[in-house]
Amino acid sequence: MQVQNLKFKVVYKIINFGLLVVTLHFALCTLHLSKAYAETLSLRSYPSLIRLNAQTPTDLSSSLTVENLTDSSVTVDTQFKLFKAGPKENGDVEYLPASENPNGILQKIHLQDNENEITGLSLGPNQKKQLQVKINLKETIEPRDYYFSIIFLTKPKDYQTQGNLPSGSTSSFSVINAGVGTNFLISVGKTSENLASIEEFSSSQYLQSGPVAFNIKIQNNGSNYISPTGVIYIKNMFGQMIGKVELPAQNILANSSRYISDQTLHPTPYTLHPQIVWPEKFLLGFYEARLSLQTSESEQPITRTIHFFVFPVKLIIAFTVCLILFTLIYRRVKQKML
Amino acid sequence: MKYKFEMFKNLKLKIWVIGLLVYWLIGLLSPKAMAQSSSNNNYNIYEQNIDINPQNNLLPTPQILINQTPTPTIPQEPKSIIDNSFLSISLENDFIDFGTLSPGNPVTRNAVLAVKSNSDYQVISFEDHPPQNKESVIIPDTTCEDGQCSETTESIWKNNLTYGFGYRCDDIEGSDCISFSEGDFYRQLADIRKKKPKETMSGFGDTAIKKARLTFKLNAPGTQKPGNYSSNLTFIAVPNY
Repeated sequence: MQVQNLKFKVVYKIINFGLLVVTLHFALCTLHLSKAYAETLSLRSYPSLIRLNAQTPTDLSSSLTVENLTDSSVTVDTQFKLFKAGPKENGDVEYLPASENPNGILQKIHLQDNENEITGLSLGPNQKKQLQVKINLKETIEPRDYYFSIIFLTKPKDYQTQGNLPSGSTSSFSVINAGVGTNFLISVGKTSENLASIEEFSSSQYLQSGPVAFNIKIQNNGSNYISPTGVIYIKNMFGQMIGKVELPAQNILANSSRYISDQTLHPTPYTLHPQIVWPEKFLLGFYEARLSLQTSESEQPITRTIHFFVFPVKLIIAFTVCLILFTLIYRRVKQKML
Repeated sequence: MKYKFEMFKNLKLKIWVIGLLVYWLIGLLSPKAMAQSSSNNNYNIYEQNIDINPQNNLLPTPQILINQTPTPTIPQEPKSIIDNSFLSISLENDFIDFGTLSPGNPVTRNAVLAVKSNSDYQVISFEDHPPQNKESVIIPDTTCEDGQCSETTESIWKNNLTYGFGYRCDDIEGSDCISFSEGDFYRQLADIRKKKPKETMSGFGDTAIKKARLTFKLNAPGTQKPGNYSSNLTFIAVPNY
């Protein structure tokens, strides 16, 4: 009887424990999941960037798609806004005031839905629309670059009249409008002349170990945007090529500078600017890094060379301490054995 | 009896050890979650009749047409490059109801903003005007307790006797909100009648959803005329170039 009781207790404990394990597993697997939020507005546009190079007179036409990602209808307004390079110099945009409209370019841009010019559109639940952007450059205009965004912005709802608020209500409220944009870089009469220069190419002069982060800032003094490509060649103190980092092609607007960054690399709070990283970890000695930048196929690459020194102080100290300890122990043991 | 108790105690210990091992194995053998990698450097290049189309498009590629009028004097080099990037913005709540304002009783309300993109982006924000009633009487944007906060500078706003309208941004997923100190630190939204839009979020195109909680705070002074005050707040996701 007692043995049966014991068996029953053991089985009971196993079941209890099993349940606990399963519960814990589910809890740990699901606790980290974030809350799901119902979305009242959700817009997507693509592509995010369109680059056009053309000689006038011409008509340019491109298409972009805007999509309503919710289960309810949405009405959006469209806006064209000219921009210049933003203050962070990382590819961010800064919109120009409406008064700045060189050569009346904004009036030459037309958004069409099935050949009909539109200034706004309605999108049904989960509907997407492909729209045509036409840029009329039939008249000869000043050869230069024009940078603008097309913004799809939800139309402000009149909550007071739509009955969401009772008439005579003393409620105060704010309505949030959301918008999404696509950028256009247009070069009209693009010249082959590139006036790019390396404004900054630097790294820490002394490092304890890799990876090595490089700050690269390119200045474009030309009148057209450029998309330079570049490579950093790294040599050790014996002159051997031991590393190569290719720079991602990024656009630099006319008369502006930009930090080149590896988009897969997120800057840490300790880095001021986007950076390019050579991922090599174990390094020792003097190194030379040569940046070779190609701004156009026809031009000679621009180069700049920097040097840095890597000495793993902590590792060397730890190794030396270990070596001393080992020697001491070895001597003691040897003395005792004698 | 003592022996049985000892046996039971050992058995209990064994069960715990085996159970923990099983639990550890469940965790060990669970499939790994792999992030889908993507790149925004795969361009579709359309150059006159040449069409180079990347194989793994993230999204259907929009077509581009160039109607070039040939002229004998000007060399024609039409070239268009379209990338496969996308950008989306979502809003959990587009209506912020502050209710009936009571002077000295600040009201805070939240909205959740989400952005998804495979290219670098920023979210810029502005208000059409500070909360305003039908007679155009406004509750001004807050200057916080020290009178220092603006649309670019945050400052503390804890005191119920500090009035105005302000906001803060807190990360829910990702870390794309502009820097706000923990706690009751607020900024103004840029009044588009006087100021340029200002950045509220910025991030990298890693296709992960970035979510931020926007907290709006409104407190009317005792001298404020009763009524309903309203404003339009705008948040625009803009891709980097």
